[in-house]
Amino acid sequence: MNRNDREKEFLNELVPDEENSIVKYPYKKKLPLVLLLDTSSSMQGQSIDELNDGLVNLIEDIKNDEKTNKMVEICVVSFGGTVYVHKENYFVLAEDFKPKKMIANGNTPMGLAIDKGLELISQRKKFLRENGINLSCPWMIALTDGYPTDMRKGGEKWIRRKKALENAENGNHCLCWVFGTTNADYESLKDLYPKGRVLSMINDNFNNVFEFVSVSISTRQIQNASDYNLKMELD
Amino acid sequence: MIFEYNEENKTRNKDKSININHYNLKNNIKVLTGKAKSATGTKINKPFQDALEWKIIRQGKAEILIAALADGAGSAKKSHEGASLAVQNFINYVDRKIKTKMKQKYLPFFINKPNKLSYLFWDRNLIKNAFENCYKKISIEASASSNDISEYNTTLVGLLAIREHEGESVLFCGSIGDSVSIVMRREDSFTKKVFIKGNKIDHNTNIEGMKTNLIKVEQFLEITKGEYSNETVFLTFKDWEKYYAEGIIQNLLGVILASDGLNNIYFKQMQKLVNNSNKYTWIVEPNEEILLKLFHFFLKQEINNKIFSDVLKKDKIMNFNNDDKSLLLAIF
Repeated sequence: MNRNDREKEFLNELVPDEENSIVKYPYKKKLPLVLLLDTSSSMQGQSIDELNDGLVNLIEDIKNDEKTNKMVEICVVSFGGTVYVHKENYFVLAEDFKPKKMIANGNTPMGLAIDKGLELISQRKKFLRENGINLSCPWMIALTDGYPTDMRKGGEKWIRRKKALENAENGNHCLCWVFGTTNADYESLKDLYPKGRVLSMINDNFNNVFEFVSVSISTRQIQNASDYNLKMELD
Repeated sequence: MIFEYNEENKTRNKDKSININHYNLKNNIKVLTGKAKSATGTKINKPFQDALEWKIIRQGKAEILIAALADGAGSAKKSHEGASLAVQNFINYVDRKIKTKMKQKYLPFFINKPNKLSYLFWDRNLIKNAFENCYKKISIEASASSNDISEYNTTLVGLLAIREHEGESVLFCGSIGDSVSIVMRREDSFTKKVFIKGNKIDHNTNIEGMKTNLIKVEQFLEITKGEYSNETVFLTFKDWEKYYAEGIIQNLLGVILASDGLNNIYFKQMQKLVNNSNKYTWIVEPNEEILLKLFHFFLKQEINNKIFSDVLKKDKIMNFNNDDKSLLLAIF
């Protein structure tokens, strides 16, 4: 047996089968990104179109970026009338993302969407960490044009979710952002979300949000919001 | 999991034994090493971030192996220097101390009484002192070159293994960070283990049966790192002692040291929930089947350092983990 044959034999004997990998590109760390998208009836018209287009652009940006295309796992959850986890886009890489046009309908169950988003992140983290896949701190991003209609500000559910978001941030469980259009209720959102995580879209352009997200993840540095026509809503 | 190595088709079957007597384990300590720079590191001409060195001291028919492996942090500018300093200083320190001990009268007595673990605590702090020495040397180098010590961030796993003239062995090992130590021992054999973490000592003795021909491959020291991939802990931390883990084990067949560039290939670093809590701890699950094949190829003298390193450089391996890779396999 010559040297090349021997190396080939060792390569077959001493390397596991790639097909057995639990996720694609297991050598790349994974960053779970949960998108909570407001598809309530008030989003009808231009807003829902821009949201759909913006999401496609985000996926393209992630797919075309070498630093993120094997790392970011996208999970789409929409909330309009009900909270819906898009099974076809359950923690998928950008290359496997299946675009599905969202339709605006119903009220804004944002509280339930937050519960679901945090639960999904916990599940994904557990799955990855128990299967030996390196992790980056997950992101959970909510986009809305209004305010939650499934809980009352200051009520029991509100306080519970506010605490859950605070614990997620302080415990380094995930970064919890909310982005709103100019019509959003910022007083409520600022009360609910951790400080510095509420941003408004100056031109109501969802693309700006998605660009901010993709560049921040790619560079591993939170970008300056104003460079993306976003404004940080602070007290 | 236990495997049988079938000479005919070179495959292994679960739940059968490997016949250790096929191999010549009677002569001396045998060491195989492999190193490979990541594909990205090669492409951008980045220095190799790992350091791996070993040496053997002979005392009559007994042998002492000193080995160390360090993995420099990818984000730190001089981490390759940190890794190199850690490894060199570990080996030099332990070597020096052992040679001093060898000149003392009672050492032959210790060497000839390998079965009593208490005798092996002849210098319980030797490995930890070696780590402290490494930390100091790196600090001095950082100060001398006006750099912050974090620029030298590196993990370290270091060992001292003794093979008695009758073949009995004992391993002392210390570690900080996510470099891996794995031991190979006879299943159900008489083994004694002691783990030290901070001030806590955990004794673990297995006296269930006589020696058999079964080989078990298992994680030795726990690895220490945070939840996320950028949260590794390093020897170069001011509070490094907090993360230091140490263990002693008797009666083993072999030991493996490896950098985390071999994660997902020869082992999996996983987080598991600690019993009755919501806290996670890192564990290492060795790929027993493949590591036993490596054990076999090496003992049959079919693979050497050059061939093994060349295998580690292949795309198929890099597709699993595109990080610098180092591995040492020592068989006693």
